[in-house]
Amino acid sequence: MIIKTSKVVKTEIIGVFLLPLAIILFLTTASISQITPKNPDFEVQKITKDIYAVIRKEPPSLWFNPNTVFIIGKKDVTVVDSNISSEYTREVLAELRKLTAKPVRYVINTHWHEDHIIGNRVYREAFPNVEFIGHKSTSVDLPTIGAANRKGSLENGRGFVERLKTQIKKGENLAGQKLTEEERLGYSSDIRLIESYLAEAPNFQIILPDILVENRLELNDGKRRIEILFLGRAHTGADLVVHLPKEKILASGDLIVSPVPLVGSTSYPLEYGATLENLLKLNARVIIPGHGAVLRDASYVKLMIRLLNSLKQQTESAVGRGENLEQMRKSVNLEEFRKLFAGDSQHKSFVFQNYVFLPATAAAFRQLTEKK
Amino acid sequence: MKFRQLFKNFIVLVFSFALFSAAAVAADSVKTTQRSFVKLAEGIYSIRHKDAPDTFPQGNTTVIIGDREVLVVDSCYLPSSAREDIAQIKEWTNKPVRYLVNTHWHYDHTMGNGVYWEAFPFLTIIAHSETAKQSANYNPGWFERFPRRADAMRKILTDGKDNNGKVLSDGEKKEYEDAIKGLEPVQAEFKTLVDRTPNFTFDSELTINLGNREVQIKHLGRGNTKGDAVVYLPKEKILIAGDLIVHPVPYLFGGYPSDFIKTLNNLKQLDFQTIVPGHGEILRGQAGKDYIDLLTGFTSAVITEVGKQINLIGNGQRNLEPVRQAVQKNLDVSAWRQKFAGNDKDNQDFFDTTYAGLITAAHAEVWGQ
Repeated sequence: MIIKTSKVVKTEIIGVFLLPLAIILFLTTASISQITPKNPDFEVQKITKDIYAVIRKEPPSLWFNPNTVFIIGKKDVTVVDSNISSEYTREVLAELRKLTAKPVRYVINTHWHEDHIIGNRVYREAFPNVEFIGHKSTSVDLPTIGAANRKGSLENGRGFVERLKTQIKKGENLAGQKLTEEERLGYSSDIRLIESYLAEAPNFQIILPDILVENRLELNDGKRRIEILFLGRAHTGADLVVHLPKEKILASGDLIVSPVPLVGSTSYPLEYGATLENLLKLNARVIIPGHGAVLRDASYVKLMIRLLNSLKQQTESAVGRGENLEQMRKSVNLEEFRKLFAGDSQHKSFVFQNYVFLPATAAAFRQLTEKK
Repeated sequence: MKFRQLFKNFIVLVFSFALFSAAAVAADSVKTTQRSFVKLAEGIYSIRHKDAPDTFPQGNTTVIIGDREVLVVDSCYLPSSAREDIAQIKEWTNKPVRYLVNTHWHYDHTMGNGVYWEAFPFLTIIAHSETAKQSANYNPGWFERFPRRADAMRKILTDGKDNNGKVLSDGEKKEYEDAIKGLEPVQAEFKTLVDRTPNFTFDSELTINLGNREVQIKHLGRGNTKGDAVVYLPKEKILIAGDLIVHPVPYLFGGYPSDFIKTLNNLKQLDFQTIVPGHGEILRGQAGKDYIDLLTGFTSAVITEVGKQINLIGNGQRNLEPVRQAVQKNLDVSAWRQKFAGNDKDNQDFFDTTYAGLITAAHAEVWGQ
């Protein structure tokens, strides 16, 4: 019994759009990518021999594109995270091609958020033998919570782009204050990322990981051990970190994001601090965060732990006093941390408010009231 | 310490596996004379292998075909048998074997790894982290130890009893003679094989989607070895148990008897209809659960009796033989012998071997070797 099949891989198709619409949007993308300056929004940094990080240069703002890590083994390459769209992943892959001709064998998705996973299809197209590795709950969370988030992004994305463009034109930020240069750069970056994401939407395909890890997986690429670890729930319920014990290098995914942490709405703030404590126990010399610059000491992580411990303690007391979410948001004070992370920046304060204060209090409230 | 452990494992394998007698009616976990396969479901097959010329058994191989790729559980022992399996797999499907799972490090489940590695360039070999460590320690030197194997077997023949003190039957003596004769052709087969140990290791659980087919690989605790992995297909309700379950006469020598009971209880929690054992005949329906109960019942009775006799006789390695004799005298295992081995003399011999091995392992657990 021989089953004839082509080598083309069947993937889980999420979101199917009508073909004419696909063509129209495709043409739109083509014109956008022509206007976009060719100067790439990333920098390839050599961390050590055969380990490279693609560090994004998009400024901290409301939409994200993740850093990528290349681990070049004896005969193949392991990649940590793909991008928010195939377009960006193609650029990143072109950089890998300059470094080595070896094929990509494994792509590790540090969690299920779409900015880390949409570009998977580019790796599958380029390397039919590639396997994707993720946390066990990815296969549950991505088709449910992820799909709901995507619906929101697709429905509101275009309108939000128009709004940002209007604000830039008016010289006002989203809160109606005078637009700073940092905000203008941030909004412009958001516009580019959203447009690239929306351009992908007509023939949206997400390749879910084929290999699902519960707590620990170790692979050997012929040159080194690569540990894939679940250290506890934090940014999501599915955060994996990639640890190279010999080189003492850690790719943290969004457990660590700088300069402003990304706690987010699908987080577990009550456990986040403890998970970061576990991460510090690995004693990595170099940490490549999910977004932001490479870290070479523990000070930033320790600051995040202080923030998360304070958040945990304050929200627990608030719920203990019987407060609801609205009351809790008045009593919980993270001002000390806003200053430490955002400084005097109006834009970074806005990011802190939207990715730390508001979602973290909501998620902590959810966790605390679920428990009861 | 390392040498001692290595030597112990080597001894366990040589002395306990390679002495099955030659009667044609012997149970399949005791002696396998023919290669065969069973289709368990669409795209899922289990292969059984003929014993090697040196009488070494070969673990069952299970083939799981998804829409995209193929996963194989255990690569068996002889390179020639693994090649036959691969030719058979290629008749079943044109999809590549991408994953090979080693349920544990023993040679009869892993020595074919190199053949798969050569045949499928993108192969990932998966095992529990302890199994990967043990494979890396023991497997590469296997061929060089062949002369020692022959010497060890000759010594057993001269002494007339194995390392558990069990006196050899005539059938067993003949088996040792055959085994010594068979060593040369087996060694010749391994000359060109590149050894491949697992490159992908997990601690508790790993799930792999082969394309519309979910495969779970789990470590449910120690048992037969430190790193026993089982492979479970939740949709098809198939459990591939490695040597945690060998049927109808189990492998209970070596291992960790107290943990074995806990691990079997964990195993029993899974929702399965079919058990593919590491060696021997497939169990279906309630028979699988009943067999697990039989294994835990017997193991637990032996552990209890060993504990009792250690209390009376005293602890320490030198008390092993007195304890063994007292256990064998006081514990009536005839009902278990009948259930596991039936009336066949060779099966019964093998049951006595596995029983003696279990006493050694249970004793070792107590004196903390």
